[in-house]
Amino acid sequence: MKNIIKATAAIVVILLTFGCSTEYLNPVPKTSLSDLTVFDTKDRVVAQVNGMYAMMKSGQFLGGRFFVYNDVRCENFIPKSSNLVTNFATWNHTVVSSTNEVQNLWSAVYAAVNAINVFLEGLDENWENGKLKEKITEAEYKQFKSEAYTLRAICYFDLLQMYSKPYNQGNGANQGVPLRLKAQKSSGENDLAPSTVAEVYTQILKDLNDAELLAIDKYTTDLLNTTRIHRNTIIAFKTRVLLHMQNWAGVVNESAKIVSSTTPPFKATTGVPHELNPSYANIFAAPYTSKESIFSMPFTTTNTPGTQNGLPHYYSPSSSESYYLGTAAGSTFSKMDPSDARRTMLVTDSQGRYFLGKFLDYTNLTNYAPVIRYAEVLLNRAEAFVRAGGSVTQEAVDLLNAVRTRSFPGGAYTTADFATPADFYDAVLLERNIEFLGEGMRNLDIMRLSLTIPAKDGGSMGSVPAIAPGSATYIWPVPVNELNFNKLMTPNN
Amino acid sequence: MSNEEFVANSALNNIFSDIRIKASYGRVGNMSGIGNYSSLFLYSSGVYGAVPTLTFSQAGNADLKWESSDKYDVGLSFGFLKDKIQTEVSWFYNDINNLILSVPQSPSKGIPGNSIPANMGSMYNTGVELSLTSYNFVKKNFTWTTNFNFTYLKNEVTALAPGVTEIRATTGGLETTNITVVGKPIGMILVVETRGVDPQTGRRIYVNNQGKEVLFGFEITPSANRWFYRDGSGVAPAITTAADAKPYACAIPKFYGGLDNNLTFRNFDFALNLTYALDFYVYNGTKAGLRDQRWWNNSVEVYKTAWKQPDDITNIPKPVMNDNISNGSSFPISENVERGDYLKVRNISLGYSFTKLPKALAIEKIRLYAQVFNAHVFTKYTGSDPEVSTNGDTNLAPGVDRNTAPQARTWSFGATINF
Repeated sequence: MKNIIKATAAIVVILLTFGCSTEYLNPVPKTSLSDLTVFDTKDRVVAQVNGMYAMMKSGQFLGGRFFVYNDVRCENFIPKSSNLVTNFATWNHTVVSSTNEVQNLWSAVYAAVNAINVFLEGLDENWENGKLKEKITEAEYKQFKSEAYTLRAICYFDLLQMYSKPYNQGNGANQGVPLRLKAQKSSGENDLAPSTVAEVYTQILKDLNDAELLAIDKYTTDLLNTTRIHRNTIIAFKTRVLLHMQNWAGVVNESAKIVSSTTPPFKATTGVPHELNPSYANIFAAPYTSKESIFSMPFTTTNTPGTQNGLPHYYSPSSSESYYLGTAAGSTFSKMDPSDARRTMLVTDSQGRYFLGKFLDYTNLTNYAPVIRYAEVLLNRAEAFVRAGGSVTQEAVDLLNAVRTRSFPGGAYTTADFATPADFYDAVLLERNIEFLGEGMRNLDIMRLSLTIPAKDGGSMGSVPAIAPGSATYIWPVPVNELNFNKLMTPNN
Repeated sequence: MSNEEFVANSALNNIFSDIRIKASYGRVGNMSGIGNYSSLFLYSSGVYGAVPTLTFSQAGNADLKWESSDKYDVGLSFGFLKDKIQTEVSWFYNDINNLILSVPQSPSKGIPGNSIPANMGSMYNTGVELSLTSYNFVKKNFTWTTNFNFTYLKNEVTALAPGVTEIRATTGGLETTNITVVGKPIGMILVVETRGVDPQTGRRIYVNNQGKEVLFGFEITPSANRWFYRDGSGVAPAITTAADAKPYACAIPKFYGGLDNNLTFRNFDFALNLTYALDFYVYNGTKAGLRDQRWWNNSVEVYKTAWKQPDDITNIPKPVMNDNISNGSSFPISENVERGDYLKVRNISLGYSFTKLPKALAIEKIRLYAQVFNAHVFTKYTGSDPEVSTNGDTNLAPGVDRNTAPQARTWSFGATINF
C-alpha cells in the first residue's frame, strides 16, 4: 500500500513538473508576426518592401486623396456637394488645424515614413549581423535600400507641398516639417522641432542621390517597372524636386540622363526605356503599365483605395459628391482645343457638365494612381532650359511640342510664338494644367512659383476668392494633434 | 449579528430576522478592453496591388500590466417578516489604478493608430446596491418570488496620463463625440451647446466658447458671413467641435437594476423580468443624420414642424436645401442629446414540465417553453433603442447612437430534456 502511494506521488510530481509550461502565459499570435521573426526569410523581407509601398498607397495619401487635394484646392474643379468628407473645406479654403484632411494626410504620410524607417533599421541590423547574407544578395540589399530612401524622399516632398511655404519664398528659410529619420517603436521622443524647408529639401536630395547609386536598372516585368522604384524613377523624381528648388541647371543635368536626344522623339535609352505613349487615353486604360507611366500606385478588385478616397469616386458623373470641370470663360477647359484628345476624353452627365475621363472604373476603383509620368520630365526639362538660359530655344519648344502634339497634333508651337520667356512659361504652365488634370499637379505648380491661387465660382456651392501667396490660408495649417503632443512644434504661419 | 446577545434580546429581533453585517476588501486585476497581444510589437499582412505585404501594425508596450482595482464593500443583509423578505444593502467603493489607456503620440512619430497603451490614469466607481427578495407565496402547488435590485453608481476619473488633460474619442473616425477629463465621469458626451431656434429669424442658436449666442444661415454668401452673433454685433468665427464643444452629459446610468418575478403553479412556470436604467444621456446621432437637409433623407418633422414665420417657437430651424449643419449632422449639437432612461421587459417566459414519465425512457423531466426576449421598451428616447452603443464596449466613447440597429425582439420555443 505504501509503495503504491509513493509511486503515485512520484508520478504526480513528475507530471506536474513537466506538464506545466509557461508558454500559455506568453502566447504568440498566430495571425501576426513579431519583429523578431520578420527578417527570417527572403519572402518576408520582400513582403516588407512591398509593405512600405502599401503604406504610401493609403487612401489618405497616394491611394487617392493627396492627388484630389492638390487639384480641388485650385481653380479647375467645382464640387457637386458640400460634404466635408469629400474635401469641400479644401476646395473653399476653410480648413483649420482640426479638419480631417489636415490631420489624416499628416498622419498617413508620417505613418509611411516610420514604416520606412523601421524597415531600414531592421534591414541594416540584420545585414550587419550576417543573418540576411544567405537569404538575399548584396544587389537586392542595395535595391531594397534604394526603394526605401526614394519612398521616404517622396513622403517628405509631399508633406512640404501642403504644410510649408514654398522654397522660393526665402530660398527655403521658412518652417518645414519635423524630420523623423529614426525608427519610432515605443513611447517617448514625442517632441521634435520642425526643420526648415531648405533642410528638408537637403535631406530629400540626399535620400534620392543615395538611392540612385544603389538602385536597380530595371525589373523583369512592365508591372514591376511601373509599381516599384528603379533608377529612372529616382532621376525623374529628382527633376521634380530640383524644379521646385529652382535649380534649373540641376533639372537640365538630371533630365539629360533619361532624355537621350536633343531632338524628338525623346526617350530614355538606359534603364527602363521611358517614352511618351502615342495615345493619351491608353495611359489611363488597363493594364496601366505603358512606358510613359514611370511610377503609379496599383489597385485590384481586392485592393481598393477605400470609401471616398479613390480617384474614380471623385470624378464620377453619377456620384452625388464628385467634382466637375469649370467651363467659364478663362477656365482651363475653355483653353483646350475641341479636337484635343484631353478634351475629347472628358465625359459628361445629364446636365452637360464635364467630368474627367481618366479614372473610369467607378465600381471597382481599379484605375492606377499616376504618381509621375514621362510627360512631366519633358516639360520640367523644357521649362528649365528657358529659365536657365534666359531665352526660348528650339530644343525647349520641341520638348513642349512633344507633349502638346501627342494629344493635339494641330497645336505645335514655334519659337516665334514666344516673344519673351514669360510667354513660354505661361504656355508651359497651361500645358501642365491641361496635361495633368486630376493627377495632383496644379497645386504643385502654383506653390513652386508662389502664384496666386485663382478665385473660383462654384455656383450654388458659393464663390471662393483668390488666395495670395502671403495669405494665411495659402498653405494648410499644422494639425492640432501634432501641436498638442509635440511640444517643440510651432504653427506654420 | 442576529446571534449577538444584544440583538437577540432586543425588539430588533422581533422585526428583523437573521441580521448580518459584512465587509470585504479585494484587489482584482482587469485586462479587458485591450487585445491579447497588446504588449507585443507586431506586423500584419496585406496586399500591394496583387503582391503580399508585411507592415508594422502595432507598437506594443513591454511594460504593460494589469489594471488593479481595489474593491471595498460594506454590506448589511437582513430578513424581516420571518425571512419572508430578505434584503441586502451594500456600499461599494472601487478604486481603479493603472488604468490601461491609449496614450496619444505625436502623429509625426508615425506609430500605428497614433497611440500606445500604457498603465496611466485612475478612476473610481462608488455607489450603493440594494437587493430585495420577497417570497410572496410558498405553497405546495404555487410559489411566487419577486426580486428587486437597485444600484446607485457614481463614476469619476481622478487622473490621466502625465501631460494629458483630456482624451477625445471619435465615432467612426469621423466625428468627435466623447471626452474624458479629470473630475468628471469617463466618456462624457461632447457637443456644442444649442438653445433651440431663434423665433425672429428661424436660425439655430449656438453657444460659442465665450458663452455668446451665434446664429447660422447656410445660404448666406460669402460663406465667411454664415455665422453671426445673435445680438447683432456682426460676423462670428465659425463654430467647431474643436473650439466650442464642451463635456455636456453623462452616458453612464446613475441608477439601474431590475425586477424579476418568478411563479410556479403545478407544472407551469412563468417568469417576467424587467430591467431599468435611469438618469443617463444618449447622443442621438441617427436623428442628426436623418434631419440632414441634403437629398438623401426624408425626415418629415423637419418640414412639418419647422420654423415658418417670425414668432414661431419650434426646435427645427428654417429648412435650407443642402444644409447639413443646422440640425447637427456635420458636428454634434446638444439638440440631439436625449435622456435615455428606460424600462425594458427583458424576458417573459412560460414553461410546462412533464415530470411523470415512464421509467423506460430514462428521462427525468421534459420542459416545453415559450420565451420572448426584449419584449418591450418603455422610454422617452426617440431613437430605436436607448441601450445601443455604436462604439461597442469601449469605455472612452459610450452613449453614442449613430445609425446602429436596435436589439432585436426574439421569440423562442423549445424543449429541455433532462436525462
